[in-house]
Amino acid sequence: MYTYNFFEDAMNLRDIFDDFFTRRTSHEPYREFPFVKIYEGDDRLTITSLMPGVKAEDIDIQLVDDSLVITGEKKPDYEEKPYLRKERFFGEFKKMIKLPYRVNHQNIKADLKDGVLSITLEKSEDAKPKKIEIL
Amino acid sequence: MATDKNLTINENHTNKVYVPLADIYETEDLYSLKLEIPGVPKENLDISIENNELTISAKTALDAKPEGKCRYSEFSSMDYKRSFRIGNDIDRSKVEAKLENGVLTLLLHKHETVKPRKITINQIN
Repeated sequence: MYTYNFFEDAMNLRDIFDDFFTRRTSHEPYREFPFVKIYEGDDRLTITSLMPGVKAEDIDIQLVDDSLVITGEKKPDYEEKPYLRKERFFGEFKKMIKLPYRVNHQNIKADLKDGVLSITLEKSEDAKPKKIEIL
Repeated sequence: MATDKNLTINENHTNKVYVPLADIYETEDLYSLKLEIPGVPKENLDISIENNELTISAKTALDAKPEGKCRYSEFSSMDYKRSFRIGNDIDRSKVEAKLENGVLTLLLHKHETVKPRKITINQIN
């Protein structure tokens, strides 16, 4: 049996408005390119970043103090042709990510696959909790 | 009951569908499309032409979450979909696609009959 519920319709209307403001194209101007996502495990940090059209040799990753600095350039791949549409963005970028704990400087891995950069960092030994024995 | 859809969105695992950005140019014998679809491997990509509509839909491979909790996020795992209306000047059987560094390049060749042809003038004396 179905009973008409006013709130269902009211909520649908609200969702339409929410969608209008939150759903957009992948162009989100209020965020800085490249977009990142940080996963924090107990001993491991994983940072993923979307950077379509950026080549591995154009990305520079540095560990400065307790921050990870990603700099690079997305080089324009325009050709000398009459363009009907130019929507993509190009240029240099820099992003600094403050790390939640100290990391092992030797064991940092960065992979670039399908336009997604993923960086894996390991917690440094002296940042791990240490149990102190009472003698 | 009034329920908040946003709270249940994680349970349903519905990815948001984004419209990828595109660069398009046209030359005498082809159209070239470049679309940004980071996180999509070749096998998750679906390109079809139906009734004068070219549709590119792609599923992300970033669903697999790395170890730990998500602390900060500027993007959600996204699928992509975009359609383009194309004319009859495009040869349906001659479409080339290339995926490189998260950028899809489509080359839509035009029919031989619509390509500009040079007409030679025979001089008759």
